[in-house]
Amino acid sequence: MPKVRIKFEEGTLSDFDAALKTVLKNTSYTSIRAVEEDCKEVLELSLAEVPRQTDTLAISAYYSVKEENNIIKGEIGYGGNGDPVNPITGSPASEYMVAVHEDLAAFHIHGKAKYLEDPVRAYTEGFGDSLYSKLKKAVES
Amino acid sequence: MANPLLLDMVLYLHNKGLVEGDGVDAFRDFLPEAPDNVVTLYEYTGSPTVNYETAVNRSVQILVRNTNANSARELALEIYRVLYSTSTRVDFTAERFAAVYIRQTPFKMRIDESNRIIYCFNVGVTTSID
Repeated sequence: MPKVRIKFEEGTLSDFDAALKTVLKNTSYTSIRAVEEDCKEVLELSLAEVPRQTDTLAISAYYSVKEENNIIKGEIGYGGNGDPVNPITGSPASEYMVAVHEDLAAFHIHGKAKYLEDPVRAYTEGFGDSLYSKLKKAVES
Repeated sequence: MANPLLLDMVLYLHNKGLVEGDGVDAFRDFLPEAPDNVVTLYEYTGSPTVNYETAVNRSVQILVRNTNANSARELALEIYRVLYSTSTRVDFTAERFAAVYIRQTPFKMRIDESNRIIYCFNVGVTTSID
Protein backbone atom coordinates (compact mmCIF):
# COMPACT_ATOMS: atom_id res chain seq x y z
CA MET A 1 0.00 0.00 0.00
CA PRO A 2 1.51 3.39 -0.96
CA LYS A 3 2.24 5.73 1.90
CA VAL A 4 2.95 9.44 2.06
CA ARG A 5 4.63 11.16 4.95
CA ILE A 6 4.24 14.86 5.47
CA LYS A 7 6.31 16.71 8.01
CA PHE A 8 5.33 20.05 9.47
CA GLU A 9 7.34 22.23 11.74
CA GLU A 10 5.40 23.00 14.90
CA GLY A 11 5.57 26.77 14.33
CA THR A 12 4.15 26.40 10.82
CA LEU A 13 1.23 24.36 12.14
CA SER A 14 0.28 26.93 14.76
CA ASP A 15 0.43 29.67 12.09
CA PHE A 16 -1.81 27.54 9.87
CA ASP A 17 -4.18 26.89 12.78
CA ALA A 18 -4.41 30.60 13.58
CA ALA A 19 -5.01 31.48 9.90
CA LEU A 20 -7.73 28.82 9.68
CA LYS A 21 -9.46 30.14 12.79
CA THR A 22 -9.40 33.65 11.33
CA VAL A 23 -10.89 32.39 8.06
CA LEU A 24 -13.65 30.52 9.93
CA LYS A 25 -14.42 33.55 12.08
CA ASN A 26 -14.52 35.84 9.02
CA THR A 27 -16.66 33.36 7.09
CA SER A 28 -19.22 33.05 9.88
CA TYR A 29 -19.40 36.82 10.40
CA THR A 30 -19.60 37.48 6.65
CA SER A 31 -22.29 34.81 6.17
CA ILE A 32 -24.51 36.48 8.75
CA ARG A 33 -23.89 39.90 7.21
CA ALA A 34 -24.49 38.51 3.69
CA VAL A 35 -27.81 36.94 4.67
CA GLU A 36 -28.77 40.19 6.40
CA GLU A 37 -27.91 42.20 3.27
CA ASP A 38 -29.88 39.79 1.10
CA CYS A 39 -32.91 40.02 3.40
CA LYS A 40 -32.74 43.82 3.20
CA GLU A 41 -32.55 43.74 -0.60
CA VAL A 42 -35.48 41.31 -0.94
CA LEU A 43 -37.53 43.37 1.51
CA GLU A 44 -36.85 46.51 -0.55
CA LEU A 45 -38.00 44.72 -3.70
CA SER A 46 -41.08 43.47 -1.87
CA LEU A 47 -41.91 46.93 -0.51
CA ALA A 48 -41.93 48.21 -4.09
CA GLU A 49 -44.66 45.67 -4.90
CA VAL A 50 -46.82 45.55 -1.77
CA PRO A 51 -50.26 47.23 -2.13
CA ARG A 52 -50.21 50.56 -0.30
CA GLN A 53 -53.76 51.76 0.07
CA THR A 54 -53.14 52.58 3.73
CA ASP A 55 -49.47 51.57 4.08
CA THR A 56 -50.44 49.17 6.89
CA LEU A 57 -48.92 46.13 5.20
CA ALA A 58 -45.75 48.02 4.33
CA ILE A 59 -45.35 49.17 7.95
CA SER A 60 -45.72 45.56 9.12
CA ALA A 61 -42.87 44.32 6.88
CA TYR A 62 -39.84 42.93 8.71
CA TYR A 63 -36.77 40.74 8.41
CA SER A 64 -34.71 38.88 10.97
CA VAL A 65 -31.48 36.87 10.87
CA LYS A 66 -30.65 34.16 13.40
CA GLU A 67 -27.80 31.70 13.80
CA GLU A 68 -28.75 28.39 15.42
CA ASN A 69 -26.50 25.30 15.48
CA ASN A 70 -24.24 26.80 12.81
CA ILE A 71 -27.20 27.35 10.49
CA ILE A 72 -27.96 30.92 9.49
CA LYS A 73 -31.64 31.60 8.92
CA GLY A 74 -33.02 34.74 7.33
CA GLU A 75 -36.74 35.46 7.58
CA ILE A 76 -38.64 38.08 5.62
CA GLY A 77 -42.31 38.66 6.25
CA TYR A 78 -45.31 40.82 6.97
CA GLY A 79 -47.48 41.08 10.07
CA GLY A 80 -44.53 42.13 12.23
CA ASN A 81 -43.54 45.43 13.90
CA GLY A 82 -46.41 45.13 16.38
CA ASP A 83 -48.87 43.96 13.69
CA PRO A 84 -50.33 47.41 12.85
CA VAL A 85 -54.08 47.83 12.39
CA ASN A 86 -55.57 48.93 9.08
CA PRO A 87 -57.30 52.30 9.76
CA ILE A 88 -60.09 51.56 7.25
CA THR A 89 -61.04 47.99 8.15
CA GLY A 90 -59.81 47.81 11.75
CA SER A 91 -58.04 44.52 11.00
CA PRO A 92 -54.44 43.84 11.93
CA ALA A 93 -52.09 43.27 8.97
CA SER A 94 -51.62 39.59 9.85
CA GLU A 95 -55.36 38.97 9.34
CA TYR A 96 -55.48 39.99 5.70
CA MET A 97 -51.89 39.85 4.39
CA VAL A 98 -52.33 36.33 2.97
CA ALA A 99 -55.57 37.19 1.15
CA VAL A 100 -53.96 40.29 -0.41
CA HIS A 101 -50.89 38.24 -1.34
CA GLU A 102 -52.88 35.43 -2.98
CA ASP A 103 -55.83 37.23 -4.57
CA LEU A 104 -54.68 37.45 -8.18
CA ALA A 105 -57.99 38.96 -9.32
CA ALA A 106 -57.89 41.96 -6.98
CA PHE A 107 -57.17 45.40 -8.42
CA HIS A 108 -54.65 47.62 -6.63
CA ILE A 109 -53.84 51.23 -7.52
CA HIS A 110 -50.38 50.75 -6.01
CA GLY A 111 -48.76 47.34 -5.77
CA LYS A 112 -49.86 43.81 -6.66
CA ALA A 113 -50.58 40.30 -5.39
CA LYS A 114 -47.62 37.97 -4.82
CA TYR A 115 -45.75 40.97 -3.41
CA LEU A 116 -43.40 38.71 -1.42
CA GLU A 117 -43.27 35.48 -3.46
CA ASP A 118 -42.30 37.17 -6.73
CA PRO A 119 -39.32 39.14 -5.32
CA VAL A 120 -38.10 36.09 -3.38
CA ARG A 121 -38.24 33.87 -6.47
CA ALA A 122 -36.54 36.48 -8.63
CA TYR A 123 -33.82 37.04 -6.02
CA THR A 124 -33.22 33.34 -5.36
CA GLU A 125 -31.82 32.83 -8.85
CA GLY A 126 -28.77 35.02 -8.10
CA PHE A 127 -28.54 34.25 -4.38
CA GLY A 128 -25.81 31.57 -4.64
CA ASP A 129 -23.49 33.76 -6.72
CA SER A 130 -24.08 36.74 -4.45
CA LEU A 131 -23.24 34.76 -1.30
CA TYR A 132 -20.22 33.12 -2.96
CA SER A 133 -18.66 36.44 -3.99
CA LYS A 134 -19.17 37.92 -0.51
CA LEU A 135 -17.62 34.87 1.18
CA LYS A 136 -14.72 34.76 -1.30
CA LYS A 137 -13.92 38.37 -0.50
CA ALA A 138 -13.98 37.61 3.24
CA VAL A 139 -11.71 34.56 2.92
CA GLU A 140 -9.21 36.43 0.75
CA SER A 141 -9.04 39.46 3.05
CA MET B 1 -50.51 24.11 -32.17
CA ALA B 2 -50.39 23.06 -28.52
CA ASN B 3 -53.15 23.90 -26.07
CA PRO B 4 -52.49 26.59 -23.47
CA LEU B 5 -51.20 25.08 -20.23
CA LEU B 6 -54.25 26.07 -18.19
CA LEU B 7 -56.60 24.44 -20.69
CA ASP B 8 -54.58 21.22 -20.51
CA MET B 9 -54.84 21.35 -16.72
CA VAL B 10 -58.61 21.89 -16.87
CA LEU B 11 -58.89 18.90 -19.26
CA TYR B 12 -56.86 16.85 -16.80
CA LEU B 13 -59.16 17.78 -13.90
CA HIS B 14 -62.18 16.97 -16.09
CA ASN B 15 -60.74 13.54 -16.94
CA LYS B 16 -60.25 12.93 -13.21
CA GLY B 17 -63.93 13.78 -12.64
CA LEU B 18 -63.21 16.87 -10.54
CA VAL B 19 -64.73 19.54 -12.80
CA GLU B 20 -67.44 19.49 -15.46
CA GLY B 21 -65.52 21.46 -18.03
CA ASP B 22 -63.82 24.58 -19.28
CA GLY B 23 -66.19 27.56 -19.02
CA VAL B 24 -68.79 25.50 -17.13
CA ASP B 25 -67.41 25.26 -13.60
CA ALA B 26 -63.71 25.61 -14.42
CA PHE B 27 -62.18 28.87 -15.57
CA ARG B 28 -58.80 30.13 -16.69
CA ASP B 29 -57.35 33.44 -15.46
CA PHE B 30 -60.89 34.57 -14.69
CA LEU B 31 -63.12 34.27 -11.63
CA PRO B 32 -66.74 34.83 -12.71
CA GLU B 33 -69.43 36.08 -10.32
CA ALA B 34 -71.61 33.06 -11.21
CA PRO B 35 -71.92 30.15 -10.73
CA ASP B 36 -71.07 30.10 -7.03
CA ASN B 37 -69.12 26.87 -7.04
CA VAL B 38 -66.14 27.06 -9.37
CA VAL B 39 -62.51 26.19 -9.86
CA THR B 40 -60.27 28.85 -11.38
CA LEU B 41 -56.69 28.39 -12.51
CA TYR B 42 -54.47 31.45 -12.68
CA GLU B 43 -51.02 31.55 -14.21
CA TYR B 44 -48.64 34.02 -12.58
CA THR B 45 -44.94 34.86 -12.73
CA GLY B 46 -42.65 31.99 -13.64
CA SER B 47 -39.09 31.88 -14.86
CA PRO B 48 -37.59 30.83 -18.18
CA THR B 49 -34.52 29.14 -16.75
CA VAL B 50 -34.27 25.37 -16.92
CA ASN B 51 -30.71 24.42 -17.75
CA TYR B 52 -30.17 22.05 -20.68
CA GLU B 53 -33.90 21.72 -21.33
CA THR B 54 -36.39 23.41 -23.59
CA ALA B 55 -38.82 23.56 -20.66
CA VAL B 56 -39.69 26.62 -18.60
CA ASN B 57 -40.73 27.00 -14.96
CA ARG B 58 -44.29 28.25 -14.69
CA SER B 59 -46.47 29.11 -11.70
CA VAL B 60 -50.13 28.23 -11.35
CA GLN B 61 -52.60 29.01 -8.60
CA ILE B 62 -55.52 26.61 -8.13
CA LEU B 63 -58.49 28.38 -6.56
CA VAL B 64 -61.67 26.66 -5.38
CA ARG B 65 -64.79 28.67 -4.45
CA ASN B 66 -67.88 27.15 -2.88
CA THR B 67 -70.82 28.28 -0.76
CA ASN B 68 -69.92 25.45 1.61
CA ALA B 69 -66.56 25.72 3.33
CA ASN B 70 -66.09 21.98 3.68
CA SER B 71 -66.90 21.35 0.00
CA ALA B 72 -64.36 24.02 -1.03
CA ARG B 73 -61.72 22.47 1.17
CA GLU B 74 -62.47 18.90 0.06
CA LEU B 75 -62.32 19.75 -3.65
CA ALA B 76 -59.09 21.69 -3.17
CA LEU B 77 -57.62 18.64 -1.41
CA GLU B 78 -58.80 16.29 -4.19
CA ILE B 79 -57.14 18.50 -6.81
CA TYR B 80 -54.02 18.58 -4.64
CA ARG B 81 -53.99 14.77 -4.55
CA VAL B 82 -54.28 14.32 -8.32
CA LEU B 83 -51.50 16.85 -8.92
CA TYR B 84 -49.18 15.33 -6.34
CA SER B 85 -46.84 12.62 -7.52
CA THR B 86 -43.68 11.35 -5.84
CA SER B 87 -41.95 11.41 -9.22
CA THR B 88 -43.41 14.91 -9.81
CA ARG B 89 -44.38 13.82 -13.36
CA VAL B 90 -47.99 14.44 -14.33
CA ASP B 91 -49.38 13.73 -17.81
CA PHE B 92 -52.02 16.43 -18.30
CA THR B 93 -52.91 15.23 -21.81
CA ALA B 94 -51.41 12.86 -24.38
CA GLU B 95 -49.48 15.83 -25.76
CA ARG B 96 -48.37 17.50 -22.53
CA PHE B 97 -46.51 16.15 -19.55
CA ALA B 98 -45.03 18.27 -16.79
CA ALA B 99 -43.13 18.15 -13.54
CA VAL B 100 -45.45 19.55 -10.89
CA TYR B 101 -44.01 20.92 -7.65
CA ILE B 102 -46.64 21.54 -5.00
CA ARG B 103 -45.73 24.75 -3.16
CA GLN B 104 -48.08 24.31 -0.20
CA THR B 105 -51.15 22.42 0.92
CA PRO B 106 -54.56 24.04 0.28
CA PHE B 107 -55.46 26.86 2.65
CA LYS B 108 -58.40 29.22 3.13
CA MET B 109 -57.64 32.44 1.30
CA ARG B 110 -60.76 34.42 2.20
CA ILE B 111 -64.55 34.64 2.33
CA ASP B 112 -65.93 36.83 -0.46
CA GLU B 113 -68.70 39.47 -0.35
CA SER B 114 -71.33 36.80 -1.09
CA ASN B 115 -70.13 34.63 1.82
CA ARG B 116 -68.54 32.07 -0.50
CA ILE B 117 -65.42 30.37 0.82
CA ILE B 118 -62.25 30.44 -1.24
CA TYR B 119 -59.48 27.88 -0.82
CA CYS B 120 -56.32 27.87 -2.89
CA PHE B 121 -52.82 26.51 -3.29
CA ASN B 122 -49.95 27.13 -5.68
CA VAL B 123 -47.86 24.83 -7.82
CA GLY B 124 -44.72 25.19 -9.90
CA VAL B 125 -45.07 23.53 -13.31
CA THR B 126 -42.03 22.74 -15.41
CA THR B 127 -43.23 22.17 -18.95
CA SER B 128 -43.02 23.53 -22.47
CA ILE B 129 -44.02 27.08 -23.33
CA ASP B 130 -47.34 27.07 -25.21
